[in-house]
Amino acid sequence: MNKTFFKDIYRMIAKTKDKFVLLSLIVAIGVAFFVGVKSSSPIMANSINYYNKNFKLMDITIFSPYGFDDNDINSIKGISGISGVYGKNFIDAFVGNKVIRVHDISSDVNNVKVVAGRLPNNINECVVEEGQIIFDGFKINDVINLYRNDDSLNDFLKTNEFKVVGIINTPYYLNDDKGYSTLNNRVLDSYIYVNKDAFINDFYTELSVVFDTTLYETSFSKKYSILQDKIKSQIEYISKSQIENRKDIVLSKANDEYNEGLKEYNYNLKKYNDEIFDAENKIEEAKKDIIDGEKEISDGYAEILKNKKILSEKIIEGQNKINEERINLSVKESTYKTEKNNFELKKVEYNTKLNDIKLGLNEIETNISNVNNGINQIKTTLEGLYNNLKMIESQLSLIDSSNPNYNNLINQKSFIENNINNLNIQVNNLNTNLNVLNSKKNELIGYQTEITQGLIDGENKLNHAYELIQRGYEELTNASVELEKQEINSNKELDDAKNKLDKAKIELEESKVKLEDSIIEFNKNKIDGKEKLESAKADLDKALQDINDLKDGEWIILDRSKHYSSKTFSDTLKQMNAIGNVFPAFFILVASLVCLTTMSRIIDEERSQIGIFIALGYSKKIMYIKYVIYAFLSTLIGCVIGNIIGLSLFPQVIYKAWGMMYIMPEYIMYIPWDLIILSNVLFITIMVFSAYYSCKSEIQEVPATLLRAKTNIDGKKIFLENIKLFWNKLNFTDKITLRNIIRNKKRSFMTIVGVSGCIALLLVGFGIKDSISTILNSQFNEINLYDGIVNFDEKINHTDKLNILSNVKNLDNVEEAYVISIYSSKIYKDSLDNVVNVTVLDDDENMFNLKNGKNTVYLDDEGVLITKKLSELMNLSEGDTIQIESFNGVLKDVKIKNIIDMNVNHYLIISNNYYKTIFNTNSVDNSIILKSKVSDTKILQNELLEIENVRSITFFDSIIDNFNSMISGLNAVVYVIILSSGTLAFIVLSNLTNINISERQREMATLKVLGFRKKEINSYLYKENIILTFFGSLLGIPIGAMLHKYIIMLVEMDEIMFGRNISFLSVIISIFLTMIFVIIVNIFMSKKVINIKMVESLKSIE
Amino acid sequence: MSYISFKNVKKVYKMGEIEIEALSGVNFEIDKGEFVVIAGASGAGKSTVLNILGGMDILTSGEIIVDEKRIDKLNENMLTEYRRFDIGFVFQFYNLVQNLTTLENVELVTEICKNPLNPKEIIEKVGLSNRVNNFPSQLSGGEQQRVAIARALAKNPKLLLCDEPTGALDYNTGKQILKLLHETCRNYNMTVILITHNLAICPMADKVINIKNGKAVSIYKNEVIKPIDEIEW
Repeated sequence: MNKTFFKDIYRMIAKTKDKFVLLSLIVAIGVAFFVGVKSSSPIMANSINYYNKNFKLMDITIFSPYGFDDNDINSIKGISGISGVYGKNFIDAFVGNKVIRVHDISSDVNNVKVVAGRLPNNINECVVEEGQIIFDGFKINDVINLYRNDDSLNDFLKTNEFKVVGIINTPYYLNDDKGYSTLNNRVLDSYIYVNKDAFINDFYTELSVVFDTTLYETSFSKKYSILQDKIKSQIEYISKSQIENRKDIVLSKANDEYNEGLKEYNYNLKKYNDEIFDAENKIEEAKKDIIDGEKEISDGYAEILKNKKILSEKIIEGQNKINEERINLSVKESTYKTEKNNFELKKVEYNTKLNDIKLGLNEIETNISNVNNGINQIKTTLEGLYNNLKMIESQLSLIDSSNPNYNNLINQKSFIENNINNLNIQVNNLNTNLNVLNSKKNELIGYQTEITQGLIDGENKLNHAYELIQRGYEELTNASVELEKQEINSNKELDDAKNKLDKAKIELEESKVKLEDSIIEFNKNKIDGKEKLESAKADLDKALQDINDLKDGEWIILDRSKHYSSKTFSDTLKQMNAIGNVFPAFFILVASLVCLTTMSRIIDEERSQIGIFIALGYSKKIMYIKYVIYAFLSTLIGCVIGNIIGLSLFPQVIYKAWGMMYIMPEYIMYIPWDLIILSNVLFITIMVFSAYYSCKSEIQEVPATLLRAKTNIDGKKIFLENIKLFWNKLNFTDKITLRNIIRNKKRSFMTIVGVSGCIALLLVGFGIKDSISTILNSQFNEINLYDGIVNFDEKINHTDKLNILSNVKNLDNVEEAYVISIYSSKIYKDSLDNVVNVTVLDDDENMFNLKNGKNTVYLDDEGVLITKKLSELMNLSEGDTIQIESFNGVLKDVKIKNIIDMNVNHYLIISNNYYKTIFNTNSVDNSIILKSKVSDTKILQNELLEIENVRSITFFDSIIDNFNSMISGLNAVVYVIILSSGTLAFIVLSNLTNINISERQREMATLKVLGFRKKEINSYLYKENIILTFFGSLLGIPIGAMLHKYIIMLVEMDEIMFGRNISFLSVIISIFLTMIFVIIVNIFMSKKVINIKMVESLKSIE
Repeated sequence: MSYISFKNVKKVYKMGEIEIEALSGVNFEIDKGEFVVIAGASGAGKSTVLNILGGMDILTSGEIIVDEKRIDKLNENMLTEYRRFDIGFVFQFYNLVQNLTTLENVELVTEICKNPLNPKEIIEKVGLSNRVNNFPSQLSGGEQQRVAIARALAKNPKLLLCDEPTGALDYNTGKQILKLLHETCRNYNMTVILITHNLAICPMADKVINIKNGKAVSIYKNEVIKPIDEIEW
């Protein structure tokens, strides 16, 4: 190979630019499609994988009816291949009427990615999910209030109020569908994450296991599933003993708690009884005290009365005495007066007696002074007594009758008063003595004074006596005053004492009232206490019952394939891959077809050049190389362009489409080098081989032959000419056209195949779209005659069930409703089984429009009906026998009567009578199907939820919405297919037309020379194209239909059967589009025809 | 032993069921440095002889010896070598590579030969120095033919085979070409074999081989070589 040789190659490429470019384009599209679509899966998988690894999505999650403790964690930690086992907590709760799951945040596993806001800083904050399609969801700063119907929320969470501080997403929840909640059959609407510390239970509700990430590349790889199976089985093995241990722990803990509870109960019971006893005693005592008090008071009153009486008696006595004295004194006074008078009279008489008297007077004087002393002493004593009395009286005034000294003091007082009296009597006595003496004295003095001295003495005596009398009066007055004072004081004191007693009485009354109240309160508390104790006892009994009822359980070990989000996702990936396999194969076919034709054309034109080179001594090998290089270069360029376009266009589009169904993580660009190399090498090989093949026959010939003109195909009659009637009607151009078509078999064949391929692809694209979109309409409008199902508690009695039915029927928006039995179960045939919804119906219960294709199917008592997809999956047909389970799980054989169309889910329909025949019992009614009058069923749904015993409701609006979002991803792919098919069709057609023109350049030129008009020449070629396209379409439509069916079956999920038919409209559109392409191509072609230079074309050496 | 010898060479073309015998047993010999004219009517088989001699076609039976080599026994690869190094061919319709200029057309062969002559010199020799960078489509017929001759000469081959080289040229140009060929023959001692159906130029050849109905009916040597200038037709 030499410089000039390469120059020639480059010049050749430059000259056949359009063919070169067309070739590249075809390859580009094929590669773009292949790489683009096929890489979508790995890119998605890679992005998901990266996301999962980054945010540490668990590989296995385990649930247990007994919860987990650190012992469980340690038992699994050691399994090889595991990098960590983490205890996690969650609890389901209501927010409004939505069910959410509350998770604890940990960065070790199932981490969350903050999209807005921040993570919680304390136990009162939470983060919520990003992107809610089901309901408006929570925003930052909302406050969420959780509750559970059984009030057990506080066993798990410290608080039930959380403030939203951030929005997150997490690989744990990729899908809108978050699985079922632990609360009764409800589906989880959303989730929140809170601080670990918000959970107060001392066990874990979930164990999350993370594999060692260095042991596998992606979780979709074989290595991973092997690792997963190994670890799972090891965990299962360990779980058996762990759960026994755990059960024991839980049981013993429960028992301990029960015993504690029982102990405490007993203790409290005893305490209660003791306290009741004490209290009752105290009450009795108090009662007694009150009675005593009352008695004391009444005694006190009595005493006071008595004392008052005594006092008044004494006073009266005293007064009487005083009065007596007074009278005495007044008597004395009168005596004195009398004596004075006598004295006066006797003054003169007694002077003589004075001397005798004087002696006697002195004695008397002495006696008198003694008596006076005595009197004074008594008086002193009396004073003292009076003081004592005062003291006592003042003491008495300070106490009341209840005081123990009170009586003593009263006694003392009496005593003193007696003394006083006695003393007073003494005084009187002494006074009497004194009087005697005085009278003696007086006598003497009287005798004396009867004498003048006696008179003075007698006067003195009289004065003295007078003084004494006066003193006596004074003292009497004093005594009287004193007595008065005494009376007053004593009265006062007695009154005070009485007042005090009155107060005491009032207080006692108050105390009585208080005691009454206390008794009432006591009784109340007694009853309360009893009730509490009884309630506590009931709780204890129930707890004991629960403990005894504790069933055996087992660990539920879920790997990522059971993880709801992951499973749906990997299903999707599988579908993508399937599509990615089929289409490129087709493109490759078409591309190599185009390559073949193009290269053939080129070789034809290069024929003499090849001859020259070989004649000049270039080897044949080099000639191959020349054209192989041509093909190789164009393919290489095509591959490069295709790689770039494919990788930058398709995955992003498809990724975005899936983003509508899933909360997709960041798109992580991943260049699937293996795919690129594979596809590129494939294309290059095919193209190179096509080139080689096209030039093989030419290059094999000897140069001399090559340098000669190519032998034209002999002119010959075609078979159509035999149909004279038809042939003669045609005009000249038509005849030539037909001849050309039939004679140039190779070219015609290529055109037809090319066109049919394109139509097939277009049909498949549109067909997929049809299949997917019709199922909603066909299922929910045509097949399903009802709008929703209400599920109720099957254990209630028949009357209650009828009540529910009438409640439902009475709702305004309900048009029709029936009670049915529907349950999820399995059917078995040979070694296959599948999940199915068993529906037990009566004839008049119109639930489905039962059809098999165009035929109506009837339910009778001789067999069951199963749905089409199910029959395909399990290879069943009419007349086959299968095993089904009754409502209670009894297995029996049944016969299949017919197959019915159904797009979504698998059903087995059986009549009530047949059910009874097989199982000898009626099925258990548990649902009501209903038809709504209105299309917006939200209000109706809320009304239904309020009916007693209703457990759950399912309406199709939400299913339809979910389904729509689920298939929107597929829709994007479909559009891409349609677009690519269209482009491919266009390219193929233009390529073929191009070749046609080049091949017949001489022909065209000759026609031009001969004077054919532009239009005539155009129609010459035009007609050929149209006829070939028509036949191509005829061929392409059935091919497209088959391809479509094949792809649909590939792409269907197990529970869904897409429509298998392509709509008539789609067929029309596909043909129409192809026609449009043909027209466009012809327009361009006619431009080229105009440009054919007559002279040069005719001048060419051949 | 002559330089070139054909011994009972036959060539049969098969087209479907039809067999056409182009050569029915051709015998002749040619010496080195001879200027040979192969004459005959159209369709006689002249081109066939030249093609087979030039390794461009394969005989059905017979023997061909060129410079003591059995050409009929050569396999494809050896034939390629034969064409490459030993043969220079000039065609009736030039058969230049359309994508290459004059110079490049000549370089095309000089780059693969053992002892090529200088392309530019050869081009100058044929008088096309001013056409060195033109493409064949920009040259007239005579110019193209001269390029073809230059190409053949530049190879410095053992044999120079020319198939009606002046067929597409006018009288004067044709004469010039013939002159050039003759000069080459004499100057380089190259064996030149020329096909023509113009009998007038037979006198300029050393030997004339007449082909009729696939056979060499007469072979004669010219005693007197007439220079081309003196030949008129």
